Order: sequence, then structure tokens, then C-alpha cells
Amino acid sequence: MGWELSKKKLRTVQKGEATAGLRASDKTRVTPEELAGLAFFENVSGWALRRLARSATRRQLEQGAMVVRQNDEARSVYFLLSGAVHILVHFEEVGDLLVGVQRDKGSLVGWSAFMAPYRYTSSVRCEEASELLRIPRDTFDIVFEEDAYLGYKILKKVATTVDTRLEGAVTFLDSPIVPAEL
Amino acid sequence: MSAPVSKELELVRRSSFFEGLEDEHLEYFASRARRCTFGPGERVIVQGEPATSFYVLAEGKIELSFRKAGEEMALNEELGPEVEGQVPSHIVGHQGYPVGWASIVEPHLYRATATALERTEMLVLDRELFEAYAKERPDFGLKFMRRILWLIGNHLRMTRTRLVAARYGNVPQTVRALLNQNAATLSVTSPLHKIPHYLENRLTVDDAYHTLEVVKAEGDEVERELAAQIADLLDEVWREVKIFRQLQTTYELVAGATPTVSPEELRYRSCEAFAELFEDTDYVIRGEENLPDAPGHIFVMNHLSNHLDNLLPNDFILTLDTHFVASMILLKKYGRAPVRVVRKSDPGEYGHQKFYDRLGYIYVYSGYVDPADDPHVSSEHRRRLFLEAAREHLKNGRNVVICPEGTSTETENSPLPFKTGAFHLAANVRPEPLIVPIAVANFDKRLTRTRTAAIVHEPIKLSEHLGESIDGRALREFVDGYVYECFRDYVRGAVRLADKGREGFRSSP
Repeated sequence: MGWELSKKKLRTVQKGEATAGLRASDKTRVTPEELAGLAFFENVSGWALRRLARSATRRQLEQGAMVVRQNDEARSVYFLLSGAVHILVHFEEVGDLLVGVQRDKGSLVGWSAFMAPYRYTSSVRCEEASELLRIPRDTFDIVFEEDAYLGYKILKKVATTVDTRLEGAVTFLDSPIVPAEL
Repeated sequence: MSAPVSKELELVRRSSFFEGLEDEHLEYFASRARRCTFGPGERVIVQGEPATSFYVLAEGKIELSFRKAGEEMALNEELGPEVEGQVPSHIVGHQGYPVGWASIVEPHLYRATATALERTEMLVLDRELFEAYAKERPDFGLKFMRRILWLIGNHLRMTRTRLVAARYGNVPQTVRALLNQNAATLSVTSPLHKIPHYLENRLTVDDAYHTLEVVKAEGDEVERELAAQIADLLDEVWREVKIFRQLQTTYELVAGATPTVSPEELRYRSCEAFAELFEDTDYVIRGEENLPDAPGHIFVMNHLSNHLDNLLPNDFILTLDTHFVASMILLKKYGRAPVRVVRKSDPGEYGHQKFYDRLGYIYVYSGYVDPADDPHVSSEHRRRLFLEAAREHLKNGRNVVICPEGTSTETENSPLPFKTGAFHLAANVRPEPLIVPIAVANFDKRLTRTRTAAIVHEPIKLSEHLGESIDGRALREFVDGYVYECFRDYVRGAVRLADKGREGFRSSP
């Protein structure tokens, strides 16, 4: 049993996902209706929602836990259900800098999973105990393969998110720099 | 025989943004693109306005500026880019650069303002074109949106890096950070890793430039895009390198001239070379109407120290303020280069001596006496020699430029107290030459990051202030009092002029 757990843990670490601070994986299933309730999935067809919901999992993380780490392989996309996360970027000779805060329900985290080379461009850390919904990148790929136009529309939403983040980065970084430790 | 490839298709094929998209799609868009030409200063897109078109840079150079959300646009646009809420602008000159992704992404409002810096040609693709084609060919739509994500992602990384770097003001570090942000995709053997090292030293910046050119042409997709980003990031550095090269060339032009070339000819050539250098900088000159009609006068000016970036490999720095006055004001007005009064080089200042010896300038002695000169010669005798040499030039209708401080300082501390030599000279030459004050500002800063200013003020006729017979004490009091006080105001005026809104690049009425 112990060996089984270690193997599972090892697999998770290999997938590049942070495990420290993981409170519990809620066993309650993610429903298509729940996904449909998030702005990101608005107007996404029923079959796609069902497919995405089937592979979605819930993650409850403690304050300070890492959701993703910069430069790790981006295998999953996250959506914030509750709590708040900090987006941090590491700069050589400067350290980790806070470049954004996400606290809105449904906020997309880990958009790099939609784009080659599939590496997270920043780290994301829970500012407070948070609940996130995790969907593997592979599932999105399957949906996109099935309906490329839907893929086009979903990626448009991702682009809007990144665009907003770009604007946020300017506001954040053009103000006095906040070291990530604070 | 295959049909000739249109310019538009060639451009989109070369653009890294369209990389990975099949030729049939590229042909579709290339055949439907319009070409638009923008003059210098003309806006291609304006931040906040509805984004209806996507542009691809075909030729020229644009400046992308970005205003923070919620910040008001400055009412006085003459204030330039350093207004409240304005993020450091980004200059782009690489062909195929895409502008206006906001036309594809909701809420379809342009995120930045793009202004043409020179005659610029853009390919224009309307938003509806993409929308309709993505519906018709969803395979294209999906790939295209991934490219849009790639583009915005690059911008996000660049913006973060630029903003952090702007805070720390270190170019090599900016490049290092950018490479670091792309570490996941950039090969460890990439020549791009050398760039921050090349940028550490002024003498190897050229190598950075050449490496980037090679990588832009021969690198892989990641390298080419990064090289283009770095090259754009370094636009200011290239301008600095160009200035440095011009300084090196000007030095060689004088110091390396064959012995048969006369000092007068060398002064002229040197001034011409400096004029070419200054023409490409941001400067403003006022008060040229105060210049006497004919030459043969004394021009006194405050003297500013040199930015260390202009230090030549032989440890000599060419002063910029005096060369500016000589080349941009006096050469232009009188067609002849003035003679300057310079301090005699200290032993070991080989570069200094090699340069000034060739120009036939008038030497004055400060501190250490050159052992090549007769150590028994008294200072009184030297003063006489100076007066005689200067008098000769004035009588021959040459202008003489003197910096009465005898040393240099930063704009903020300028002027320092004046010595009286220039005024003694005016008192000892008949017909009496005019003393023309010129105040300068900002020549101690990097030329690429400042606006320099020079103001010519109304000439002084010494005899009108002190009479025909002038004693040393009265002259000293006049210089310490009236002249110095005037000059303080003059320099402050030059600083204000430099700070004032741009009334046009290379401003001279």
C-alpha cells in the first residue's frame, strides 16, 4: 500500500504538478452543468462539456501551496473555483516577482497548456486556501480534434485571458515592484 | 512554370507569426491584403480605439506605446513618451512583425498605439476576413488562434521583462532575463546566449549586433523570433553604438590624418563629421539671431563633462558640447570651423594630445607643465603667448571658442565659477571682438536618451560695461558678478528648453 502511494506521488511529481499543501482531492464529480456555470465555458456545446467534465478533477489547496511552477511542463489547465492565487515570475538576479493576482471565480490558470512548447511561463501560488478545477490538456486536444471550430472559439477565450493578463502585468510591474515574499 | 510569388505572399511567408500555417492559407490572406503607407509620426493604430484590422509590418519602423488602464492621455502631446502612466515604448523594425492582435481578440479594442517613425508600409487584413475564413476552414482557425496565443504570450513575456529591466536599467540583464524566460524552448547551444556577454562591453556590442543578424537569418524558429525581439529591444543600444562608431571615426579622421593636411582643413572635416553625428540626435538650438554677422569673435560657453560611454579605447573622450557649438552653430553660420582654446594635455594623455595637436588649437596650461615645453617659461609669458595666438586668430577672422570655467561639470551643477582669460583677451584685441555667450545643457548625458540644448545669447561688448581702459580687478568683479549671474540664468534656460515638449525632432528655427 505504501509503495502504491509512493508510486502515485512520484507520477504526480513527474507530471510537473505541485503536491505540497494539497489538502484533499474532493471526490465529488465535476458536472457539465458546473462547467457551464463558469464564464469560460459559456456557449460550449453539451457534448464537449460532458467530455471535459469527465476528466476534470477538483483540487483543494492550502494557503502557500503551488498550483503550477514556472518552466514545468504544462499538462493541465486550472480554473479557480474559490480563494485567490498569486502569479509569480522568476527573473534572474531579481528573484520571484508578483505579476498578478487572480481571485475571480472561473479564472483560467495555466494557459500555457494551450500553446507549444507547453511550459508554464509563471508560477502560481495560493494566496489563501483555494479550490481549483483541473482539466488535462489532452482532453482539450481531443475536443479540438473533434470540433476544430469550437477549438478556435475556446482558444479565442484563452487569448482574451492572456491579453487581460498582459494589461495586468503592466499595471503590476509599473507600480513599485513587489517581491514575491511579501 | 510556376506563377511569380507576390510581395505580400513573400512577406507573410517570412513572418515568424505565420510560421506553421499552410501555404494555401497564406496565399488566401496575401491575395486579400491591402497595403497602407504611413508617414513619420502618423499613427497606424490607436490604443482604445475599435480594433478592426490586423497589420503586418512590410517596411519601415514603428514605435509601440502603451498607456496603463485608467490613466488619462496627456493633454499636451508634446510632452512625449515619458508622461504619467506611459510604459516605456517599444521600437519595432523587423519585417513581418504583426500589429493589432486585438482585432482578433475580444473586446476588439487596440491595446497599444503604433506610430510610424519613418515612412512605413503595412499589410492590412480586416478582422472579418479571419472570422469568415476560420468558419470555413476551422483547421486554419485553430492553428491561427494558437499563433495568436503565441504572439500574446511573447508580448506578455517581453512586457514583463522590459518593465522589470526598466526598473533595474540594465540592458544585458534584460536580455538575460528574456533568454531565461524562454529557457524551455531555447537550445543551450544557441549563439543567443552570448548576447548578454557581448553587451557588457562597448567594444563587443558590435559582435552582439552581428550575432543577432546571423541568428535572425539562420536560426531556428525560436531563435529567429527571440533574435528579432532582442534586436528591437536594443534599438537604443544600436543608436548608441552608431554614435560611438562615429566618435571613433572622427577621432581617426583627425589623429590619423596625413601630415600634409592643414589644421584648418582638419578642423573643418572634424566639424563636418560631428555635424553628421549630431544631426541624428534630439537637439534644440535657439538664439541664432544673436550671432554676429561676420566671424572673428569670442564665444564663451559653459562646459559639460562627458558621459563615460563615449570613452574611446585609448581612454580619450571627445567633448560633445564644444563640438556641438563648433559644428552645429558656428560652422553652419560662418562656413568655417572655429578655433578652440583647450588645456594642454597631461603627460600620458596620448590620445588627447594626438587629437588636439593636429587641429591647431590654442593651448592653455593647467597644473602640470608638459616637459616638452620649456619649464623656465613663466606663467606670465605663457599668458602672453596665449593672447598673441588668440589675437592672431581673431584678426584673421576666425572665431575662438573658450570655456571660461577651465573644467567641466554636470548640467545640474553648471556653470562653475569663470576664469577671466577670455575677457582679458577681449580687452586686449582691437578692433574689439564681441563676447558671445552660449549656454548648453545635457551634453553630459547619453545622447540617445536626452535632448540637448544650446542657446546663443546677446553678445557682450566689454568696453560698454567697463570702458576702454580695463583694470584686472574691475574685470574680475565683472566676470564674477554680472557675467556669472547671467550665465547661471542662461544655463537654467537651456535646461528648461531641453525639458520642454518636443517641437519637432532636430529643432532649430
